[in-house]
Amino acid sequence: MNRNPLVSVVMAAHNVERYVASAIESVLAQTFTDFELVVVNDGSTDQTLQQIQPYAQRDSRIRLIHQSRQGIPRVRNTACAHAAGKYIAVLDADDLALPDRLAKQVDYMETNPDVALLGGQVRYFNDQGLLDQYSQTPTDSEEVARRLPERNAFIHSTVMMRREVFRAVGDYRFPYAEEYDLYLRFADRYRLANLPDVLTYYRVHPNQRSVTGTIGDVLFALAARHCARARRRTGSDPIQGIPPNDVNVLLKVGVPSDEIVAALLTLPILNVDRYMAQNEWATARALLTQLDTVLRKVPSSRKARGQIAWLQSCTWKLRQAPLRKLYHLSRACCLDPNRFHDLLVATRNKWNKTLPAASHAR
Amino acid sequence: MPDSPSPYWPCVSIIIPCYKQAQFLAEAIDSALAQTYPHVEVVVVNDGSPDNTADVCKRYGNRIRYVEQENKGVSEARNAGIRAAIGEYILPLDADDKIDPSFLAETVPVLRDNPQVGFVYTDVVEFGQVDFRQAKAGLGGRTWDIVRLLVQPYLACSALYRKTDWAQVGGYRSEFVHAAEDTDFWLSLVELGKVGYYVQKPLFFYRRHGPNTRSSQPQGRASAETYARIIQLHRGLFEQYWPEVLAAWAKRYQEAFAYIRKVEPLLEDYYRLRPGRLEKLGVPLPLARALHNAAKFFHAR
Repeated sequence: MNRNPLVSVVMAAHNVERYVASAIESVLAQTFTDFELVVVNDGSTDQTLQQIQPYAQRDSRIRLIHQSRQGIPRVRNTACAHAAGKYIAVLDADDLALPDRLAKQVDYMETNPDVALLGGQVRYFNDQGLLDQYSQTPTDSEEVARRLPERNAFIHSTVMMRREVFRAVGDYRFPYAEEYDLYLRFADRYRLANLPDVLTYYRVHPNQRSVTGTIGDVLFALAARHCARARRRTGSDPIQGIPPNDVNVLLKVGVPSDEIVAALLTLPILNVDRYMAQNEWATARALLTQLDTVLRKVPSSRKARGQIAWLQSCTWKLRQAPLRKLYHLSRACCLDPNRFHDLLVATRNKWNKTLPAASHAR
Repeated sequence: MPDSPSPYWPCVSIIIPCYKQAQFLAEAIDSALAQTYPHVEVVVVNDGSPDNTADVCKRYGNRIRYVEQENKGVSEARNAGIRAAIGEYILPLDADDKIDPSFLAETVPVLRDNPQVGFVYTDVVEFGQVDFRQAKAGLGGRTWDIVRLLVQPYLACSALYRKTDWAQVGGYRSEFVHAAEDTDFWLSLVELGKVGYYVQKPLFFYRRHGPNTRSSQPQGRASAETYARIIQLHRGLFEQYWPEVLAAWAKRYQEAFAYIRKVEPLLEDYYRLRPGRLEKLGVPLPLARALHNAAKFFHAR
């Protein structure tokens, strides 16, 4: 076994029995062969381990690490800690690398020693086959540096980074948006770039409905952005170690509450609208309940919670669940008195159908 | 002659490259000349074979065309034969294999009437020293499935195709000297936008002999490097079907592994029952041999 391969492919696997074997095959089919594959089985409760084991037993380049469920930042850290190569290439267990992915990236990294982290494009696919959708991340490193403080400019399954730099920058920290935080910390001191070529096929899951990410993604992306700003201003990071998955962390660190509220209201509410348009009431309600629980901990969020309650009342029909509808409606009016006006407009429209419907977004 | 509304019967050239297979060559040429299809030209390419290939061909005189070249491998030999051929359609045939007299009568109409079909292949019958362990993994004809062709070369080299397609593709790639040149060629045809067509009749006879079909050449139909090269050459095609291909590989691997798991205990018995060992334990030698053979038999299954 080659103890010091050039590339370590790291893969975190949790309950991916249907996909992990294909992902491993896609690594084994690489035209670049001087690699090791570190698979961390994060306490899977299905047949994931049994799917990986044959490969690990037969191929000495594959190392299987089995641990009890530890969740997102820690699995990735375990995998990267076991990586021995000069470069660490990330591949998620449900995605597929194209055969020349490693070759292309190693080639670029060797010729551009000042680039510390290199991504690429993905093509999306699902169980039915390849989709005609491609990612469009900026390829130029200046463009990446300009865009990264506002939003993510990489797709994690295509990323390759230098191991020393990763050690110097430090581990993944957040339970969500952990990669975005890492890119921002890389960007403090190093150049990052993307290749224009498709390197990976990215699996779109049928139940992966939210285009804009979950509440956790939104909150921790905000935290990552705030930490990056603080680092630039003061030189030190307000968050040390792995923070708990809680909105209080943001408040303690000093993210203004109106920013949290704005972030929570813009992205997920788009999803709620979409769910409601598709008559997926249960999903919409679940998301709204989560939003309400998070917002309850944020100070000066009454108005926002009024809007959430209004939406919650919209998900119930007066004929079928009048009490629930009225309960949320009254909560909305108590939290935000302006909702009385909305209520009046909505009632008038109900009676007078010729007028256009009032929008719930104010 | 087959009935068909169309009166057009294009000329077919059967290309038989031969290297160190003179003992089978006559059978192949006979099967090619015995076609019920009218317009057939047989081209035999002597690929610098040190045996009596030339003598065998001389016996046929003007009924076949004979091309000679120094040894360059099967791809170059086939290309040379096709270059010399005058037929509109091409059927490559290995010197140790045979075709049924009705092969062309069945396949030509398909190719002639369907412009989107690039090559027509048939069901395969294996003959010669057929090992029962090989028979399962054989080249049996199956319905056209591009993913299957990408995962595992399952087509025999004998399929009917158009000479224009051959020219457009640029012929068989000469870098494939020992194997996989046909898989590479079929994939090139697919890249032209053609599909394969499966005639569900056993019209092609594939000879198994000794360790490998191309006896004088190294083992392995698709060794790892050859396969990597094929992936590299047909990158677009593999990218298009990459998820399916990987899933098929993974499935095959898991199945093989499950099989090994199942067989392992049997294998242990097999070694435990070595005759010498049993004899040391006091079992008479004939009985020990019988036990060993029984274990071997069950292991082989």
